[in-house]
Amino acid sequence: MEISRPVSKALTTDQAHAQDADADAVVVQRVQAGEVAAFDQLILKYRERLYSIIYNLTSNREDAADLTQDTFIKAFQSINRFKGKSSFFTWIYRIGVNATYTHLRRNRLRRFFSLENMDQELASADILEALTAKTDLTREGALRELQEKLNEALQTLSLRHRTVVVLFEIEAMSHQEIAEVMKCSVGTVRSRLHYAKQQLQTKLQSYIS
Amino acid sequence: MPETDDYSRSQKMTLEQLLQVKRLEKPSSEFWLSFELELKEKQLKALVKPGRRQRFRTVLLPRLAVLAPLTAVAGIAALVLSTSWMGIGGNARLPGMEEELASPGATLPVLAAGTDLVEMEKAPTARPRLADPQFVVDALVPERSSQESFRTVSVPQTFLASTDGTAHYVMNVFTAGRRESGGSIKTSGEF
Repeated sequence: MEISRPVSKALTTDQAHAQDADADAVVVQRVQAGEVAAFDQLILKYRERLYSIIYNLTSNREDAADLTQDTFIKAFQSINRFKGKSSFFTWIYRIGVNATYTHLRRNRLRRFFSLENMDQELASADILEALTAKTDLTREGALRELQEKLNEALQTLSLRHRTVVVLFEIEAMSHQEIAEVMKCSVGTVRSRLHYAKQQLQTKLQSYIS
Repeated sequence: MPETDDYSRSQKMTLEQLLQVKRLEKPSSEFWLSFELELKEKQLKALVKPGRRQRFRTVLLPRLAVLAPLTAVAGIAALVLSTSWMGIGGNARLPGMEEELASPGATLPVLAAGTDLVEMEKAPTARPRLADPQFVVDALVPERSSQESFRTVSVPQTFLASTDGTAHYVMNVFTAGRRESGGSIKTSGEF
């Protein structure tokens, strides 16, 4: 039986995820048995993605680094409570997202953008043009400017809408995985994503074709 | 940067493409070095610092072990004091009556039979006396002389009641005036 390409791709992804989850479960069992050093493997495996999620939610590098470290410490302290009902990455992302929510709610009045402010704000057309520039310096500058604009646009979304966009569009997680992390239904994830994208379209109109 | 190559074809892009630009924001290797060092430091602190449960066991439990008996003793003392106040202090509000009861042969002022025959509405503050089988009763008594057509005026008065259902008027709590007359009243049986 011939399986169409997207379906076969989805199956491969699912299989890879299942294998990944099994490997994580083994490491978690070792940590639970008292092999503390085994937790370093999990840190190495997930620190970049976890940091990326938290950074895209906070738009602040220092806060993201602190929150990522705190997330690993929380996970380590409560590793014995992890029963393996969900995959380890879903569990640790949930801890990270919740820690970020708590942090952002506490510092609601603080506006933060860790990217340095450009002396001169460039127009969207200039940024897009600079991205195609031949010199790396110009291109990098334009890229940073664009990333800052995206950060600003993301910050205008509510926490839940921002989380869905970050997890789906930037972290390429599936609806099901996002639903597990956010403890809501897949339908809710879809509707939040739809609404958030509508909002972003309006905010980033000048960049979008 | 594969995403940025698309821009050469068209300067504008879709929202999805735009958001993928965020994937390019990756920290440097120096960042991860300091991240690891800080994390190790935090892990060590977390290992040294006791958790909530351990803190409860090591810090709060010993304190509770000292505080709990002290609190219990203080509670019992307060209970004993309040009970004795109910027995002695309550009666102490009526100094005249105490003197009369203390002096042998003293006659209590009693209500004249038939006059001011009152029916006690409620006796919520009836307190048994310790020395004799009598009760001090505070009661709201309807005042007939000032009774109006639509409402009853009640006056707080104090009686010395016996277990046989008779009561002797002692004083008007508001005016502290004593009446020389006496009589029996029908008690509500709440004491």
